[in-house]
Amino acid sequence: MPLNRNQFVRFVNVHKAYDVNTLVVKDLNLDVANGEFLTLLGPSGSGKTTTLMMLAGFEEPTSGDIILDGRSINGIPAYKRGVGMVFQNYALFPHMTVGENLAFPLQARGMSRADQKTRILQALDMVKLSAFADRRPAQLSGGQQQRVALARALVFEPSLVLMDEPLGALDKQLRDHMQLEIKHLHQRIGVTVVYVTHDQTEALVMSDRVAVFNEGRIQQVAAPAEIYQNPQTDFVAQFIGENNRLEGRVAEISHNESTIVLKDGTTVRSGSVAGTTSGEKRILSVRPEAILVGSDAANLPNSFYGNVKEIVYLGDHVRLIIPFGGPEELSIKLTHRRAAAISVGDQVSFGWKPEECRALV
Amino acid sequence: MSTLDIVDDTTGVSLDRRALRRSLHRVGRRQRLLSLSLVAPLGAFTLVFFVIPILAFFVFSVANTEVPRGLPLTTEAIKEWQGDGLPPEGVFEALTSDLENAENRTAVIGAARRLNYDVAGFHGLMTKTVSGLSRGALEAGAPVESSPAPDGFSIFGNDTTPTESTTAKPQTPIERLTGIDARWSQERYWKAIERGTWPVTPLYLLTALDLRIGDEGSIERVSPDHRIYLTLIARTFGVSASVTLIALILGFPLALFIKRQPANRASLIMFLVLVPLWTSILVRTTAWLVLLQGEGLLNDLIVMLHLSETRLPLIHNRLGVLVAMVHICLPFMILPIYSVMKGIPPSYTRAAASLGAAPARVFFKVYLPLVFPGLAAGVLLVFIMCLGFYVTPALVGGPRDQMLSYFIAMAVNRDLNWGLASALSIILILIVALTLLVFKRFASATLAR
Repeated sequence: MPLNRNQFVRFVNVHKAYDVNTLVVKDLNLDVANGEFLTLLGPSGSGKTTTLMMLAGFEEPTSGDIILDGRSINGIPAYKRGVGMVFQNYALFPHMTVGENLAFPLQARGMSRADQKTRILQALDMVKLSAFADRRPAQLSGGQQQRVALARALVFEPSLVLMDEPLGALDKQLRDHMQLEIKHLHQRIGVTVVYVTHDQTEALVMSDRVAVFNEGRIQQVAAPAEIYQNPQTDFVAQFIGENNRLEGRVAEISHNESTIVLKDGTTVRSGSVAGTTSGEKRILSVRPEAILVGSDAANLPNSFYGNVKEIVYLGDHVRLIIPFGGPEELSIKLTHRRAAAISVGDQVSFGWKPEECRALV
Repeated sequence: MSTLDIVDDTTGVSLDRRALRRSLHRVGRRQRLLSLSLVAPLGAFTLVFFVIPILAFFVFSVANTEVPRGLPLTTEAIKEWQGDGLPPEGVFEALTSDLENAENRTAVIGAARRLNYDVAGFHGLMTKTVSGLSRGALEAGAPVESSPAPDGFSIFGNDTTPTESTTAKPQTPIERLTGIDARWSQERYWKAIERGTWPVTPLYLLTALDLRIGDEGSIERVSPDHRIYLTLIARTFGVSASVTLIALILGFPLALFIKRQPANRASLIMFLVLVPLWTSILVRTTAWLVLLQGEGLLNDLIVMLHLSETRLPLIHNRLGVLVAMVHICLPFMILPIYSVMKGIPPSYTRAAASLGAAPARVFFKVYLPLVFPGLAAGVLLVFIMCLGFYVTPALVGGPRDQMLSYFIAMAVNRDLNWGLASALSIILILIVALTLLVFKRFASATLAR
């Protein structure tokens, strides 16, 4: 097999079952490019962690092949794979100092003491913890421990680093900070990263590409913007960002647009999704921020009127709740300025462009 | 603003520091009283049944009250003696009076027993002298107040052979005593009495270490055929260490095995491990007796399978002691190890593997140090428990397998020698304390590394 830069890691028809009743991972096919930051995103139980564990060597696929750098790594134990890993609880060895923790992978590789020392200093310098080599993990804050774990996974210069929800235990502010720090680190050293999280923001902020998992299957693999703006399935639309779901049937299909009839008979024009046929049941997906209110909405192809049921104050913005399309409600994101003139019970005009809305399966 | 005030920077409100402290103290007092009342029952229990008895052991092990109580006049008179040659005549006279004082007979017996611990044969000497003196008094026409000392109280053989003191001429106290038994002219017996009048005695502690105060007053080892206690201490230590080691070798892999089982099977195995704790040690020991004895089940099986022509001696020897003790101690080894293992998340070993460490390196460099607190607890628990074992070695061991506790019990029950029992107990306590100390040092050194 020719070595392909875009196929540094390959999952080929990988299945994983823990018992005869359930497949945790179903027919997984996924390529990871060299130097890429790929995030496996999904709710718990979606198979993303299992996929990572199979790549790390802690789980064996029930069938299928995992190929790393052109070589099948099925049956190769974790310690021979040379893959760095950062764990959710950091898994820093509590009986060793930070320096000893970092020396551990180097000792396992039989590196000379002097080389170890240089490497450790470099790695600590990289995560800005040079002064902490003699501390015990317990003497460090959560963020510092996280950075040590990163340094330890990188100190032996693996070509692939796996991260299993590494920011899960940090508070929000620190998490936001570490997201950028990890991203910058990745950009600087160019290592391939496979990152697992259930936090969509994390996935969008850090990744080159995101693979959305649900019930053991990949729903969509794409760059963050693509995932957010062009979700291919209802699940992806729901899971990434906020979303209005409107159930309806396809009435008419033109070249790149389709007309959907909602339960109460309202017709909505939407961007088309490949393979749609007339009469099919579809779910319309509109982002709250894509809906315009007031005069902006008047001339749009999708323009409606409705009564404001509720106004929710959310700090940096306001949300209008308007019943629409039968049993459903629309949630509309507005700035304070635009919402200032609106109060509960008011009739407002609202609407969106067809390309801002998608009819999904 | 006085120095007592502290001022809040933001509000400028000043507080009286002393008043604050007072109210803090007031608030804290209720809490402290409550906490105290919670531990008070246990504290009282511990004091009465643990602290006081241990302090009593310390007192008993050096107590030296028998001779002053039994021989009050002698005690007073012997103070004049410099320790060179025989004591002055006044001492002989005082001893004669003490021994003739029939009202004090019980205390005299006590003194005789105490002196016998110091110099073997002293009991017999005293018995003989008391009866000799009363016979002499009878012949001299003195009123008889009691029969000669009853033979019954002599434990150490009875050498109350009547002396041929037929000549009833007036004698000095020295002549009377040496006339009854020539040993009274030997210095060592008087020195023993003199040592018996010391406020405290090292006798029992020395005995417990196979030492004695020699005739020259220096500390020396007892004659080889009397040396038992050092061997005993070494044996107690050795048996305990062997049991601990075997329990560790058997228990650690089992804990590891249980840890790797699914939760419901793990709790079933843990249940089986703990079931033996529901029955008494006596019952379990007796069960081993049934299994291991010459006509026991195991030997039946061995003979039936022709593994051996003769029945093997599996019990009343060291083997039986080790088997039974390991069986009893095993849960105490497994429990702490397992509970520590359960608390170690799998991510540590996984992290070690992902960092390139082969299984052996993962085990020795990461897993073992993490389990170490559990190992230490198990080893310590079992070792200290073993040091105090009594029933099991007594039932399944031979005469050469008995441990310290057995001899403590023997000193109390058979010999009524509370001093020696206390001294042995103190040695046991010291061994435990020393073990803890060494262990603590070792453990902290290992962890600090």
